[in-house]
Amino acid sequence: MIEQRVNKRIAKTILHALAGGTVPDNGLQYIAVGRKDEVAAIVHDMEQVEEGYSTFRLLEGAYGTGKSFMAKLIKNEALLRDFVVMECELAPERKLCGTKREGLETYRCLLSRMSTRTCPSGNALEEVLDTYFYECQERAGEKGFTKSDEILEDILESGQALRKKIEALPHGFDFYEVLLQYIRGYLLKEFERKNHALRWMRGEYRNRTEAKKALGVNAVISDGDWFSYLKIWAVLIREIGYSGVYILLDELTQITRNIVHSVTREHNFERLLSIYNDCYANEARYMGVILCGIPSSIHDRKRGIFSYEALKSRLSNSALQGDEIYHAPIIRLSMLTPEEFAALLERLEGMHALLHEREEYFSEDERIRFVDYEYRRIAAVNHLTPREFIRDFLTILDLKSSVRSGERMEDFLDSQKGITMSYSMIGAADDETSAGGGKYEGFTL
Amino acid sequence: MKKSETRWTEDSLNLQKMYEQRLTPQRKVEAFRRYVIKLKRQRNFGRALNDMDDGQADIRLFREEALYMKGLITECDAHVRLSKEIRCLEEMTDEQIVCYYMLVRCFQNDIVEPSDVFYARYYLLEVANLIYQDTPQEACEALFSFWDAWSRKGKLSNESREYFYTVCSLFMLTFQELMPQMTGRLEELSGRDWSGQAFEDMEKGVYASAGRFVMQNARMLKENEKISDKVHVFHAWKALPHVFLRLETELKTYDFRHVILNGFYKSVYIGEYPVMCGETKEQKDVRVSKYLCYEYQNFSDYWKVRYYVLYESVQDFLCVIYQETERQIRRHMRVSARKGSVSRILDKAYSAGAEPERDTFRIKEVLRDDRFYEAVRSGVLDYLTAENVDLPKRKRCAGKKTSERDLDYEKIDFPTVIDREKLRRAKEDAEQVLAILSEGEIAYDSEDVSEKQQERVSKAAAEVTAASTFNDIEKTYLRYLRVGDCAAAETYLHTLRMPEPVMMKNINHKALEMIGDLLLTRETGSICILEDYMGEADRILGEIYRDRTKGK
Repeated sequence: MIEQRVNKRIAKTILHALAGGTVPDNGLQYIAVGRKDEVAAIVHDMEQVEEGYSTFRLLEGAYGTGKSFMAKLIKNEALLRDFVVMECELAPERKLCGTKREGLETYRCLLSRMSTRTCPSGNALEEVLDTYFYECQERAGEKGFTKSDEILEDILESGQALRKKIEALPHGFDFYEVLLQYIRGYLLKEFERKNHALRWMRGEYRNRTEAKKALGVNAVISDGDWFSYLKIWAVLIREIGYSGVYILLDELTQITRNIVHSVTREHNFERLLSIYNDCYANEARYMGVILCGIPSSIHDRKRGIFSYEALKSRLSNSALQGDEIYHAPIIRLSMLTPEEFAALLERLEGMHALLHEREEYFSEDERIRFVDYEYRRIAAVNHLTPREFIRDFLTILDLKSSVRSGERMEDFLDSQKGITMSYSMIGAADDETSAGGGKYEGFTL
Repeated sequence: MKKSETRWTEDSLNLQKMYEQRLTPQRKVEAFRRYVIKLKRQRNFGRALNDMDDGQADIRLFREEALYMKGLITECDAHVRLSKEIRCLEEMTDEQIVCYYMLVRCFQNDIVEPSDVFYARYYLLEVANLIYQDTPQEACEALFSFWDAWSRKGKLSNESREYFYTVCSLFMLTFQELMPQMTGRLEELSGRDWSGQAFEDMEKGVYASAGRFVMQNARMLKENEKISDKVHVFHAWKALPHVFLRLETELKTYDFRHVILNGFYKSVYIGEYPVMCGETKEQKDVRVSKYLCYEYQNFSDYWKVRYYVLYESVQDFLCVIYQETERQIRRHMRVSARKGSVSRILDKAYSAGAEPERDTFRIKEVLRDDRFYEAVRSGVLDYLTAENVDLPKRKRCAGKKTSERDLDYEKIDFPTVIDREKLRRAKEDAEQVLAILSEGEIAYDSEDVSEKQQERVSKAAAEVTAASTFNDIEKTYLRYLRVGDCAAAETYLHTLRMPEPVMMKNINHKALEMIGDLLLTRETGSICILEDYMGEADRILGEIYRDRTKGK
């Protein structure tokens, strides 16, 4: 049973976040219902990335279908599998490229929100680098080197393979030079030098003059080449010992429909195309890219991704593919079915019971009754999302666990603005219970 | 050149004397320019002329000027083009004036070239002002013969046609005795209703005139649209008689004839064109026929053509009919739909007319009636069938129309029942997902995977046992944090030459294996133990003491 596996704190975090209408930070696997194929596909991707390949996926879903939930689920799973995750929500000031360094802003955001399993809330860049150099330092210590210069020499000598890998990539020489500066700063306790290097790696130097003055490197990360640096990061991170890098970009609509100027939009599409090509040509090794967007950001004929023919032909799923999504670049998320909602409610109820040390609140029939009620509410067809659905149920659970412990589901539902619920769904589900009559169609006010 | 020819005296400003003197054409032009400037200064009480004054032409001045120039015999080697429509000689340069009077001789013989369009227009204006003819009758003949000659030369633009019709209208108003014959000739020329005959036809129920009539006079239609070459506009006007016929037969409760007859007026401005209107100022109304009259507006210097307006806002009704007809035509012609026309008309209807509320109510009532739309639709179809109009073919549509629904909102299917079997499967799937995510297992079918899975499980198990035990360094650091001594914890790490993030990572990594969550977090810049896991931390530290006692 779920309550045996889930941690109380995690259960509390989940219920607290869901009651507030937000996606919880962790424990998402306990409430992941109806996403078996999608999860299997993503996990398959992660294995591919671990083996040195790169993947590119688009998560497409209408409002309320759980894109953010899925993105967070992927993040958590990637962290569990020892990936470094970089996430960013695209915005008017953060795109793939633009005239006001919007692309570089995205890079900065990705770096600042770099997270690892032990540092899931971001800002893990320093942790990643320091851990690696500490380990190198330890290894040098084991060899009998104690002085900083000796340790540095040892690190450089043992890191020849890394050097070659990095320098083989575009902009690799500059990057390695800055990395050396960081190591020197770290080992010789020159924090200013270390900070300069960190600033450079985060793309915070605006021009070459500044970079040259601070680090002696005649290059900066710019709007046009930031993805090349991410590829270097992926290789470096893999060498450090992580499984790879996962890049999550949300709000795809910001580079599609929300860009009014067609030229700017096309530049962004071109950049997206180059990312896609790099991923599928395996030029971005150990890297998984996931983008989330609403359907119109992809399918809109004028401003969507499919308005760019090169991307359309690449991203369109094969007609013979059917429901299989392992190899499809676009994963379409659909709304949960009533049955999946019912399964989700059982999970939530289990967590709530665990937290309040109770046995059980409602029977399965009662939960189905609740699902039926939610689906038959006025304008549910257009407005029902898991957010409202779950919040209503958690409210009932809270009431049941505190002031109205003796009441049944029907009592709760009857008290909702005088709406009498429909029994038709339950009746069909369980013919025996409906045999006694009491079938109502629709609702009465 | 004689000296007296160039002398500038008071006598030289006398027009008659100037005319009597035999000057060369160029000198006459120069002398006349000075004369014009002098007159204008007198009119402005000696004040300097500004741009606005230059732009306004005085009718008397125009006549005298033109009459004087009439006697000139000029020679000009080069043709100077006019780039804009002109209203008086003063707007021309000297070269253009000379060129114009050279062309006038050709115009008088009905010889006109397409490149002389602006000169020709100016010539029409002069003819209407009796510059070259002595009687109105001669001027009328000259106007039409010149127009015929011009029309024969090639296709005239709509602007030129409208210009000619305006000049003719103003000429008719000046010389009303010529009105009957002129209206007849204009009707032949233009196919429009100049006499108001169409109104009478309408009254008798001859709906074929309605379209023509509406086309001329609907106020809401912009001028550039009225003369538009757009196919849908052309067909919309032509379809109107059929639409009216349908409306009359299918909606007998509404008197559409009343609407059509009484809904219009139009205005003709004459401020722009210097014509002889001084004589007609006394007579303010010029009645052309039973339904048509012109009214002179003293205050604003323009003529208003009036088509017996009873309720001004009723014309909104006709605009609604037109818009609906055009909408239908657009649909057939594959032209994109017009936006918000009817609502704009309704808004306007509130602020116009004698009884706006009543009329607006009537319009709304008709708009609510499905028979109205049906009648317009049938009328348009009648027109298309009767005229055998070639409709554009429908373009091929590649796929399903996506614009029909909003892609970004998923429509939920209304469930009839919850399927127990599906519910069971959903639960199983959720369990599998949990298994995949928690254990790092993959549930897709492949033979290699089972080996991979086993490898992973065994590796993970080994990692857990090895990594989940805290070493002494970590426990010491944790103890400092447990008692809240962050400074001591930092010093301890400093002595170890270990960076803070590294220690944090190591402890959290092991905590994840042991308790399934992070133990340390960073708050306000310093590392601390999570409140919820103080008990867990105590348990780990308790082991420290046990270990130590054991060791001792």
